[in-house]
Amino acid sequence: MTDQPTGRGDRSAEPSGSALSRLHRPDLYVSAAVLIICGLLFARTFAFDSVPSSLAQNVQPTTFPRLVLIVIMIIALILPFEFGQKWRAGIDLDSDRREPIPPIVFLTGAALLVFVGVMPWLGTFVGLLMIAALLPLLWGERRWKILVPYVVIFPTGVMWFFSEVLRVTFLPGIVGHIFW
Amino acid sequence: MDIDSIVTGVTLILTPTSLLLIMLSVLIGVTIGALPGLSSTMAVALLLPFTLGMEPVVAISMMAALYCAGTFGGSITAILINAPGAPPAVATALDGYPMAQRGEAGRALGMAAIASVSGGLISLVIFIFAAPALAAVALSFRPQEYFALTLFGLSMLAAISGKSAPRNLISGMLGVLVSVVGIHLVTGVERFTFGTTWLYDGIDFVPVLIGVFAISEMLKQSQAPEQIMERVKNLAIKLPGRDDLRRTWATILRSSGIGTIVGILPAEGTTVAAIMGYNEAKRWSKHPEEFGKGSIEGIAGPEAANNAGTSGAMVPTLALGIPGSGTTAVILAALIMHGFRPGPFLMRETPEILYAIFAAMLIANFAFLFVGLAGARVFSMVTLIPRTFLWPSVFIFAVVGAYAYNQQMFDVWVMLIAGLVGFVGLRHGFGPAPFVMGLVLGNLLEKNWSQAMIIFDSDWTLFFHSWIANLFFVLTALSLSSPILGPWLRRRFSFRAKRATQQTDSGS
Repeated sequence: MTDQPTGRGDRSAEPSGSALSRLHRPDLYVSAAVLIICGLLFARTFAFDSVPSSLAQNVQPTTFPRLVLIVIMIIALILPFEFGQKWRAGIDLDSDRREPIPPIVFLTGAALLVFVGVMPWLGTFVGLLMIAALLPLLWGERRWKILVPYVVIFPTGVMWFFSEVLRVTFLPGIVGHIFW
Repeated sequence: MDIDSIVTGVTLILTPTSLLLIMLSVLIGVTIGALPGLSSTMAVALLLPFTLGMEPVVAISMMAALYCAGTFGGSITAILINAPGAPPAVATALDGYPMAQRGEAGRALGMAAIASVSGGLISLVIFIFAAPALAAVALSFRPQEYFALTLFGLSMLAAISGKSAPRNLISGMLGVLVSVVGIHLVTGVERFTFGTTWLYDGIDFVPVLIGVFAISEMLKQSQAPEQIMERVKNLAIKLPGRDDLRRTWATILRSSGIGTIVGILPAEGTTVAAIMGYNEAKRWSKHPEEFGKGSIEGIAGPEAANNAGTSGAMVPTLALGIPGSGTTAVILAALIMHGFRPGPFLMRETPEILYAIFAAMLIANFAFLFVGLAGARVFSMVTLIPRTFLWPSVFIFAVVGAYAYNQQMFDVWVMLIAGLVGFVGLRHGFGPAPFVMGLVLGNLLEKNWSQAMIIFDSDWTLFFHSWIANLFFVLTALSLSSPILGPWLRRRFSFRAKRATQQTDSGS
């Protein structure tokens, strides 16, 4: 199991930093982020239109979201104190985040944003062809004999199915409705 | 039991098209289940847009069949290459792979298939009796009872499998928060729309589901190295012999019961069921020393439990409208998307739907027995698909699926943002399943809370005037305190046991 710390009970194997101190720094940041977001959203509820009590039937539009936000904020306060207790129970909350995020993840995320951003201009079909070609290349794929047929066949098959069978109209983009 | 509804439901499924689509779902389910990284929850989320133009009953049946088959599919790669395709198959790998290594892969697969089908069938029988009974009880629920039940369902996120109860609860409550975006139904006031008309109707389930399950996992997989799996050669599938059946029948029955009960509990999943099934199989076994080295009971236990858990999880989903797992939360969203009213009204207004789903799951169970046994070698080879083609394909499905739902790019952006946020959340221990359960239950929670508050004229103390609501409030409190109470009770019991042993030793 990946969530089991490897050096349970072995102080030398403890994570660096304030691992077993009462406040775990990474969780402090997480908790702060949750509190800030919730605080901003809570402030936003004051901008909701006000409704006379007679029309609101005792249920103001702000009450439920505020209750939910307060619950989240209260639970978020527990987060920085959780690490030590979990570590002693044999669970490492840092196992998924100890390693820094590799550049390929940022590149992939940025590529996804670019693909979706240019899709209205390129059109769905050309956009999908671009995704099918560039994403494998970005991930290090260089087997052209597999890549080329994949780029042609896979997006075309998906587009055909959705257009012809499910009757979905896709964005035409620069090529217009030549294909679908 | 309404015979007419049963006949109607079964008839809806026994058409060539429906059977073909269910078989197709089984094939997809086993394949997805066999592929490490792809989960049946993700597959059901990606399948949603494909079912847009379908008969709603067939669409939901396909998803139920995919859910059953996906749970089984994970055991194939768990046994053959020690790479559980799905989390519920983790326990199966503990004994399945050692058996495969000593040349008994066929026997292990045969037992996995038989135990899965047995678990699935036993829990389906319980499902067919429990769901209508539960729905009949739930029909008498008023808004305050429904609110308390939904709150209990959400509180179970504290006990859900995962590393951290507070993180699960925050994920769930963030899901609830997302569900309030849009126009408030009682007053017509815009909430969290930030001035854009795109958010007037709220945020749709489908793009969010696809984003948090598929895109966040894709980003996680982008950093994973290409794995070279060692495959078992000379694979000959073998159904369990009389000796194996004699040795495992009690384990299968026990694990089926465990799986069904764990599945019925809101928010618990098949992974928990499988681990409990494995532990209990070991505890009751006459040969516990064989566990971990290739025990046939070590396969029967988790496999019967995880498949029983799938049908068990459908009980609260269909009868109460409270999802029993992440996948059933997606199925619940699909029911709403296709115009059904999950919960007791589904049973009262359209009972044939329930029986059609039951029939589909029954067919799926027999289908994956056949598919699993005949095609295990082929399914073990799906792991040969390079991730450099697999995940771009998932992204293409995700983009097209998110767009096709409402045919607007806004949903693709929602999907992408949900995926990016989901990835960051996943890294810090905030799982997608609790978020989706919160998202699906959020509307139900607010609707019932609002109705009760209107009826009570804002006197919230009246919530405690119903014994059913009080029962759920107590269960909610227990569930929320379980992460603290559980370890404390375990420590206390182990301390008492230690003291008793010391006293006995000193006495003797």
